[in-house]
Amino acid sequence: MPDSPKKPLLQNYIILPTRGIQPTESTTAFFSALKTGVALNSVVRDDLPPEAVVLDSTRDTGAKLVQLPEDVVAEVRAAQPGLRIVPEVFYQPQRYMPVIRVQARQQAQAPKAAVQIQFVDKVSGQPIQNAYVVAFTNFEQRVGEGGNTDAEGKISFKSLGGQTIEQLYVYPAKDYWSLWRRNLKFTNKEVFKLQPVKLDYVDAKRYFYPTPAETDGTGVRVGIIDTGVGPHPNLTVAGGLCTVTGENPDEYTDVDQHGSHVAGIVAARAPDPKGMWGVAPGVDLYAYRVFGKNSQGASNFAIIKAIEQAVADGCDVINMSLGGGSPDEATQDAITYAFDHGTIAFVATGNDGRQPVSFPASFSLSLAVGAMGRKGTFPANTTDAPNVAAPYGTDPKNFVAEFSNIGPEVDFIAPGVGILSTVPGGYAPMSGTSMACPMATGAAARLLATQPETLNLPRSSARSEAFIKFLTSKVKSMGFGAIYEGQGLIPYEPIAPPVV
Amino acid sequence: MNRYIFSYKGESAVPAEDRRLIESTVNVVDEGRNKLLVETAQPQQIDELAAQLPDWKVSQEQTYAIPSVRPQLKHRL
Repeated sequence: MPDSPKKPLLQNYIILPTRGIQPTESTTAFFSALKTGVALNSVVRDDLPPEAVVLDSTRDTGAKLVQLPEDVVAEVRAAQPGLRIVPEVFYQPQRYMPVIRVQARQQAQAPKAAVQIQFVDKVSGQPIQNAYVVAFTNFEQRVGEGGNTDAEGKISFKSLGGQTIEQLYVYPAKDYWSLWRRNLKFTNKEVFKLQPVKLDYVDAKRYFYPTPAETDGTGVRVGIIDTGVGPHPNLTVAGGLCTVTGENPDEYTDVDQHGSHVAGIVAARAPDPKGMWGVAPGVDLYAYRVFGKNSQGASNFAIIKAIEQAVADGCDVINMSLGGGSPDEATQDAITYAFDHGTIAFVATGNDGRQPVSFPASFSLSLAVGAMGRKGTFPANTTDAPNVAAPYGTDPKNFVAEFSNIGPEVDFIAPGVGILSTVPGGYAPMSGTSMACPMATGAAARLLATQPETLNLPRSSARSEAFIKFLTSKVKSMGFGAIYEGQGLIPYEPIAPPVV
Repeated sequence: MNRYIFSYKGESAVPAEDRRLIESTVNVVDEGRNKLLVETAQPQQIDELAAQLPDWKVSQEQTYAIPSVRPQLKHRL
C-alpha cells in the first residue's frame, strides 16, 4: 500500500507588527485583512497550505492568533519581513514537582597514576605549544582532566595513567587540525601527531563557496559584532569601535580568536587563489568589539551600542555570532532600530545541541542561522567527527551539525563544521553556528552587491524588507526540513564581473 | 554592584531633567543613543527611579559568553 502523505504539524503563532501592538500605516491594510477564519493563502502567499488560518484577533488591526504548519513559518516571515511571528506560549502555575534523576553510574576504581604525553607536527615533528587537551574518563558526566601543552608540546596529567579515556579532544591554538580519539589508554611519553592546516584544503566553505573574485561583495558594508578583528595580513578593516564600557574605543583588534575567524569567513583576502578567502572579499569590513579584555562575557549594553554604531557607520549587514540567556527588550530594540534604518542582522542560532534557538537569534527581526556540515570536508579523527548527525540532506553527504539549535525561528542554514579561517598569527579550523552565521552574512553580502538599486533604497524598514525578500528568492533548500534549515542555504552563484 | 540599562522610550530626545534625576541617584557608567548603563549597590534605587520615570524601560544588564562547541570538563578526576 502506498504511504499516505504525512500530516503537517500545526502550531499556533501570534502575528504582531514590528514593534508594539499597533500596525504602522503600511501594515494596517494587511492586519485588517486577517479576519478570524481567513486562510493565509488568500492574504500572505497563495502557495501556503489551507491549514494556515487566522484563529483569533484582539481587534480589527490588532494582534492575530494564527495556525500554521511549523515548516512554513519561515516562508511567512520571508513574505512579510516587517512582522513579528512569535509562538503562542502557555504559562504553568509555578508548582514544585520533584524530579527523580537517574542514579549516576559508579566509576570503576582503577588505580590513578601520573602520565605525560606530547603533541607534535605530523610532518616536521616539531612540538605543538598551547594546544588545549581535554581527556574524559566519563564523557556523559564530563569527568576527566584538561590543560594546555607547554613549549615542548607536552602535557602532564595527575590521574590519567592506567585509566581508560572515553574521549580525547585536542584543540591546537592555530595552524593544525584538531584531534578526537575514543577508548584509549595513555602510555607515558606517548606522542600524538597533529595534521597541519593547508590553506588550499577544500573545507565546507571552499566546497559551498568556491574561491570568489576579489571584487565579490564590493559596495556592501558588513559589521562584525564580536571579540574584535585582526590583526591579520588577510583582513582589511575599514573602521570600527570598541563598545566595552571603560575600554579604549579605538582598540577593536581581537582579544580572542573568535572575531577574526568570523571576519575571515566573510571577507578574508589572500594574495593568491590558493590562500585564505572569505565568501565576499570585496566588502567593507567594520569591527565592533563587545567582548572585554580578560573577560569571557559581552554585555548586552555593549552589543546595543555596537549595533547602533554599525547603523551610524552605514553597515548594510551586521553579523552577530553570539547569544544565549533570556530575551531582553533593550537588545530587541537595537535590532529593530537597525532594521528600521535599512540594516539587517544575521545571528547564530546557538550551539546547545538541537535546543530551541537562542536569543537574540530567536527575535523575529533577526535572521537566525543554523549550522550544517558536509562529510569529507574535514579530516577523519578531528573533533568534528562527533558533529555528524541526522538529519541528512537531499545530498546525503550533507548533515545538520549535531550542536546546531533548531526551531521555527531558524531562517537560514550555512556551513559551520570544520571551517578554516583567519586567527591572529595564523589560520585555524573552528566549528559552530558562529561560523555558519558569517557564511550566510558573506553569501548575502555577495548577492546584495549585485543589486545596486536595492542598496540605493532610502535607509528604512522597506530597504531591510527588500534585502530579505531578495535573499529568500535566491535561497535553496538542502532538504533538512524547515525547523533545521529555515528557508535553506544562501547559495553560491557565479557573478558577472562589474561593467567598467 | 549591579548594573542596569535605562532605555528611553519617549518620542523626543532624552529629557535633561530625567537624566539629572538618574545621575543624582545612581552612578552612570556608560551611555548609548537613548540608553544609559548605570551601577548601584542598592537595587531598590532602581525600582524607585523606574516608578518616577514612566518613559523609561529598565532591565538588568546581561552578558554573553564567547560561543564554543568544545565539551567542557565539569568534574576533575
